[in-house]
Amino acid sequence: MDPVRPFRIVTGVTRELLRSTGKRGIALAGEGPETRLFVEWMSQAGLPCILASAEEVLKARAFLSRVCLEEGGTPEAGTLTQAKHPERGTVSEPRWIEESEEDRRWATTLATLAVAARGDLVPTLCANKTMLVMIPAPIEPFLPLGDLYASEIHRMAGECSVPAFLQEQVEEGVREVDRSLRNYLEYGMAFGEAFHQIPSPLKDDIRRSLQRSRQRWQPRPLIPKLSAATLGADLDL
Amino acid sequence: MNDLRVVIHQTAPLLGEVEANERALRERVEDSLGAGLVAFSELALTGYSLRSRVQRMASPLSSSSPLSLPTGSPPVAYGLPERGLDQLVYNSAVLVHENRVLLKHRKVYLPTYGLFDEGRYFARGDEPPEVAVLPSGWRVGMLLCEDFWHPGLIYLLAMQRADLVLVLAAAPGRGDPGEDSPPSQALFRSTRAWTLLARSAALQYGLYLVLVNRAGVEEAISFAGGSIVVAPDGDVLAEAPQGEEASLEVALSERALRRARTPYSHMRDEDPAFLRRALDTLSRGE
Repeated sequence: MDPVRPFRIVTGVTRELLRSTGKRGIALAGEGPETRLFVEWMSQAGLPCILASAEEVLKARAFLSRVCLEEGGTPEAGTLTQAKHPERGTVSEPRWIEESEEDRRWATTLATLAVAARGDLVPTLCANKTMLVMIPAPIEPFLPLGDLYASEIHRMAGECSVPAFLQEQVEEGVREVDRSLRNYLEYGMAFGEAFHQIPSPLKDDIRRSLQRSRQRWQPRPLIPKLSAATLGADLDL
Repeated sequence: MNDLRVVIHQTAPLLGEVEANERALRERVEDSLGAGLVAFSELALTGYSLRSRVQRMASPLSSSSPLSLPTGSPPVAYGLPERGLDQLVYNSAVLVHENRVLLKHRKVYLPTYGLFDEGRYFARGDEPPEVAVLPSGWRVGMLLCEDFWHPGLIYLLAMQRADLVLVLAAAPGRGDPGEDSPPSQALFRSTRAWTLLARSAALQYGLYLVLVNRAGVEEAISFAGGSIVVAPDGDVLAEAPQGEEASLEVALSERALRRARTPYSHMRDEDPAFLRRALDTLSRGE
């Protein structure tokens, strides 16, 4: 897939976002093909982009662990200690083996928000469309790759992120899923018709994910309407 | 009737920044003082995605031009939100010359589907489009964006013997054009549809079709650009790039109008009375 078109459109929207909000640039965290692709595009476009460091993400994870008072503590606490005090031993890569996707997302979001607040930047998440329609709505207000399916990212970057239950799909499988998603979401096909090529139990997993995410994507901001003109509903500043 | 030099400016208005947009319009008009007609896009004065802000930004239109233009300016067409005498807000286009409004058109068809929500914020225009005569003698009609997708309106302008129809648009870009698209249409698939409509209308009615779209970004939307000028034989005379600011300057020829209408006399033979009878029957549900 020729990246020129998405590059032009995504960086054009990003440029106008920074101009209209007066923000200095983009803040993001985490790693993954989408983040790497977007950071590269930002560099090519000459737009400021700050990526939270791995240590900042670890700090966010440790903070969440303390604040959220997880039962049984954090399986990764030992690893975090090692990373924080390299003189005590080898600094290891953070391991997320027993951590849910949602925990990981919160940590990257928190790190992103911290970097954004510090630098007057726009908090940003580089999730693709296949991910976004199957996960709870992110906190970050800017999702620059949110209209590109995982298979489109794969065609540009050679890899892509997908929800955990899709990770066993080979490239062709993700393309099939995306084709079905497009038929369902964009062309108005009923679920059964759109996904008839996808076997169960994968089809059932997809259906459940879509249903869960639908419940958790609410319009933002959500303000109960009491006056004649309400932010988020019918009042535009 | 001499040839008409038309200049169209595919600009990127800043959303809600009227003073900056006015300045940009005036500067471009100053650069086009020798033209016979200058045209800008839909809502060029305010930007498109105003939503409820139209209530604050709409102004009444009198017989004098809402935009102060340099002395000696050619006729200028542009879009703006209008506060009517009925206090309703309309999505309007004006053609002004020597600080007078020569022609006004209120958008009839307000797209309210998908990413469009104009029906929430604007009142529907309830007057048929009209034709004005430029100082050069050319007969000009105007439509706004979605109006062009409803064939009745350009038909009405053709029946009034328009030589030239201006379509002022703020058309967002949508869809992947595919790998086989020509470079000039490489950003959005939607541009192809506009081009087909414009060429078909010009050919069918034997008139010049000038489509002025805008460029730039508002929130998540990238406007497609791709403005074009189509001759009465359906050929594209000039085409602006997609998605970026540009200007086109084209000479329209009275000879080309005559050639397109000779020997073809589709418009001469058109029968509005027959159509009216058929529409009456249709509306009675027979």
